[in-house]
Amino acid sequence: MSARAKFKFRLYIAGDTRNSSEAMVNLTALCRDHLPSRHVIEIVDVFLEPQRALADGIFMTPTLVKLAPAPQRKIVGTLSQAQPVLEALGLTGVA
Amino acid sequence: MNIRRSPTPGSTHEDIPALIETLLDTEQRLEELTAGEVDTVAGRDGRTFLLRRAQEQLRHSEARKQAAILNALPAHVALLDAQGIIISVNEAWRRFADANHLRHQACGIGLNYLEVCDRSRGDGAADGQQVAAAVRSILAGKALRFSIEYACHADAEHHWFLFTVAPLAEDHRNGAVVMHVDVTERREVEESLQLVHKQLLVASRQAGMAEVATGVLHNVGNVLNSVNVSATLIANQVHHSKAADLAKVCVLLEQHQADLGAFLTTDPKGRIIPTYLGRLVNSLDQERKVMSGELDNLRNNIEHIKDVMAMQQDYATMSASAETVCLPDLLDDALRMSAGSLARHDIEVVRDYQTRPVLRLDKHQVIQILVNLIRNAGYACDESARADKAITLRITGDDQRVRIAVGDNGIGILPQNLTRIFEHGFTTRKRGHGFGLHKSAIAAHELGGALTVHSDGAERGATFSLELPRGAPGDTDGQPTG
Repeated sequence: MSARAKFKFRLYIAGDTRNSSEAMVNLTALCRDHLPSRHVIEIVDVFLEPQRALADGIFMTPTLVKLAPAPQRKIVGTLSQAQPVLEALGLTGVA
Repeated sequence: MNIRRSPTPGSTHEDIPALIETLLDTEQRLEELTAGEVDTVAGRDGRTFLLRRAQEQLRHSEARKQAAILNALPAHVALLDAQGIIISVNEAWRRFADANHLRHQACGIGLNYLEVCDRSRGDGAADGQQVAAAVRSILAGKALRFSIEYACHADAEHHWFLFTVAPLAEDHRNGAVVMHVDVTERREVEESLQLVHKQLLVASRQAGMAEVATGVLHNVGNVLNSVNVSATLIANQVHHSKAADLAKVCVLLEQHQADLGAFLTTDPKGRIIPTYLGRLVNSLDQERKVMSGELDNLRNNIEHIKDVMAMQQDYATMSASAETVCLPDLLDDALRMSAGSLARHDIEVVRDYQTRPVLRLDKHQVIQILVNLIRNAGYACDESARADKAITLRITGDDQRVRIAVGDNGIGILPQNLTRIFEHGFTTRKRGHGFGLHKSAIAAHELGGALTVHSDGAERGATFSLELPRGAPGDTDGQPTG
């Protein structure tokens, strides 16, 4: 995996709920600290686009999906524990 | 296949508690599985379930947002339920209640707003009744909005508020929002504007009265000169009258009463008496003619003074009500008021009345505009060096409007001054005060017309046009004069 590869994330949230808001804040901080200028985050609100969540096989919010680089990964929750999240995303030792 | 079962009384009592138990257990299990980090779960059909904890968070979050919006408003806002009881108020409402020592029952929460309005006494009683009626009407779904401005004099301070009431939801009756906005500042500005307007009107009236007085003094002064001349002529005539000579003849005739025939035929003095008497008759006749002429002049001049006084008095005491006026006559009246000064400065007046409209209008306002325009034209001519000074008064018009143009061949107006000429305080004359044209333009506007100016520049003269609308009942048109 190239160290300079661009990370594409999709975060499924449910409106203004607390866990969803926390997940958004944590993901933004994580990207700022570990992937500056090489990440894209797409937010999908299941209240606004329920069919899309269903099609993507998302059954809980908040859920983060790492779309690129491969392999694809899903993480459910607020992303508040940085280390397990970085490991799950394959980011240990990248930044 | 879905089978819909309606609950039966027997099963409801047992089933519902059991179902709630299952629901709570399910939620509890879901919370445990997701470590409290999940807000929603979705079924296999994609239906999203908001977990109870998230539901509460969301409701609180929404309520906080709504409260923040309401608290940010400077208006005093309260929510009423369907019975008119205050169920919630914003910060501004609380602050007002605190400032005015209305601490009763948590700034009014729980009070029936309708009863509070019904109970209002004193100055605000009528407003209170009106507000109560409006709120009742809104709560009953009979009206969608109501506003009223009212005075509120709390803590010896005068305040004005705009009260508004609207239903919480238009489609069903579940309460209303009442709002009081402090509009004191706006009202104060309005009131001071009205005061300034009144003062301006008084100033305008005083200026108008001064103008009338000046007109009277000026015109009467001119006539008094002529009166004085006539009186002096008559006095001189009387002083040097040949009537005294007649007395001498009478004395001679009396002395010779006994021999009157001889005296008249033989005495050298007596012989010339018939001839002398003939000459005396001629002289006295001449004197009589001169004095009679001067007396006529005197009478005419005194009549003229009476006319001037009557005319000025007529205009000075006239109220601002519409009356039927023949415009050419009005223009002639205005001209007469300035005739003395125009004649003294050798200014020729050309009258070109192409139509003789009869309009219903406020005569007082129009005459003031016209006098002002004619005087200004006179000044413009007077200040010009040219010998053939002239003012042209023209009346033209169509079905819609009548135009009175007062033109002069005087000093003209610089292009940069054309746009400022109607401004208050703007004048190019040393002794002008910049009020006449400003006031005239306002008066023209009040008459539904307009006052405009045209000048080709310095020393090229100027024309002021007063346009007045036709169409009021009673407006007619006469035939053009030659």
